[in-house]
Order: sequence, then C-alpha cells, then structure tokens
Amino acid sequence: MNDLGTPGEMTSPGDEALLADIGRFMDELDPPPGDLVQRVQFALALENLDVEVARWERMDATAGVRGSDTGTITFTVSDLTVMINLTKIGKKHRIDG
Amino acid sequence: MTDVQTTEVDPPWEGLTGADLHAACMRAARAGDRQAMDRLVHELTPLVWHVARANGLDRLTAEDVVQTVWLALFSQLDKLRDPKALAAWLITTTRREAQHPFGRRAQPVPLTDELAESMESTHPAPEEEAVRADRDRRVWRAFLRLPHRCQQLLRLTVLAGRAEYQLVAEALRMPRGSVGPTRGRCLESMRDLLAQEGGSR
Repeated sequence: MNDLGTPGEMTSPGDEALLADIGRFMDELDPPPGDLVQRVQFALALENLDVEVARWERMDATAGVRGSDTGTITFTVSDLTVMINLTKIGKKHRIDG
Repeated sequence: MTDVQTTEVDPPWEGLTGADLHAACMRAARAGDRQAMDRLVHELTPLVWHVARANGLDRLTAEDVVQTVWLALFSQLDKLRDPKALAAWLITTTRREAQHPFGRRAQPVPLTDELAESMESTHPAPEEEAVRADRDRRVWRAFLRLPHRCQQLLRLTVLAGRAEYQLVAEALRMPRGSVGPTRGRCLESMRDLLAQEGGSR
C-alpha cells in the first residue's frame, strides 16, 4: 500500500487521457531542437547559392565560344549581369570583363 | 554590397493558415521567394520532426532527416504538382527517409530512455506540482517501456489527432487494417506498465 491520493485514476487512465499525456510529453520533452529551423533555413540558403552558380555554369556551357576568334559571354545572376570578352591569341584566350 | 533590405509589404500568405498558407508559400517559393520558403520551414518543421521521431529515429538522426527532407523539397519545388498536398508529401518523404536514411544506419535506432533523464531536470517541483511531476514521470516511463512499434503508433495517433494536422491525418495514419485493435492493445499494455510503475516507487 502506498498513500497516493487516487490510485484508480493513477493506474488506469482512459485512452484519451493517455494520448493527451503522450502529446504533452512529445511537445515538452521531445521538441525539435531550438535552432533546427534556422539550420534548415541556412542549408536552404546555401543550396540556393549553388543553384545560382550552376546557372552560370550552364550558361557558360551553352553560350560557349563559337568558332570565331572572339566571343562575348554574358552571365546573369539575380540582378547582377557580368559580360566578358574572349579574344583568341595564339593558343590562349584573353579575357576582358 | 549586399541588399539586406527587402520589400516590407505584407507577403501574399499573410493571414492564411493550414493548406492555404502552404499553397501560397509554395507558389511564392517557386518564384524564388526565400521568405516564403523560410516560412514553410518554420511552419512545418515540427511536423517533419515528430514524424521522424515517430518513425523510430533518435534525435540526431531525426535532425539529419529533417534537413534532408527540406532539401529534397527544395530541389523539386517545381515537380510537386499540388501545393496543397505539401504536408502529405513531407510526411511520406520523411517516412521513406526514416526507413533508410542515406543507407548509413544499419537499422532504426529505437527510442530509448534517452529522454527519461530530462524529466527530472526540466520539472523542478514546487510543492503541489511534485505530485503531478511524479505522475508524469511514471506515465512517461511506462510509455518508454512499450514496444517501439507501439510508441510509434501512439505518437502518430497523437499527431493525426491534432487540429492543425487534420488535413493530413490520412497521410499520418499507419497502414489500414490492424490499427484500431493494435492501438487498443498498446494503450492497454501502457496501463499495465503504469500500474507496475505505480507500485514500484
């Protein structure tokens, strides 16, 4: 015997009561780590950067430098545009931008 | 030079909730709006987290899976046809990831007593709360002693019952059929364990 006030309520709570308890524990004892949201947002921001860089590379590949000796390539990323000039000098290319 | 300043106009999803909010944010995110994506992450990370935990992942692995799921969403933002189905997609993807996250875990790490400790520290007990805290401890311990499958089923039951997840309750449910009876048995064993706990200390 012990002197718990309401042993019946204590030892056999109803389904709803138990589920309510579990729900409370999930939030109180097992919440997502406090900085998880920020870390995910940061990871997504980084991923976004990758996409922007990739867009550069793709444009590079498709725009390419055609057979001629000089060419102009334009890179665009968000609101920034970079244009560079390629001039073939012998075996090398000169780059002006 | 960086442009920290963005437009201060209320975003189009302001005032929306639930699936409408998700849909509005998805549309904006597709158009490249980072705030929209951030809002989605803020809104739905708890859901992804609890689903990951309810699938038997330990906290560290659950963190990884949460990140993986969001990155997966980001990489196929355009492919998700129905923005309203976002929450369901997140749940499905999380469960799939939880079953074999990156193939680097042999099998799901079971939920253990890892959290039982925190109960003591997070519940300093001023007089009248002592009884309640004590009862909580017993209930929680009983829960942690359940078979893992029971713990997972009960966690999912709780999530599916939450008002804010009502729309995705279907996606949260365990495969149909044995759920009802199984859940009943799980709760019954929890009561048994609780009765043992009650007498033990």
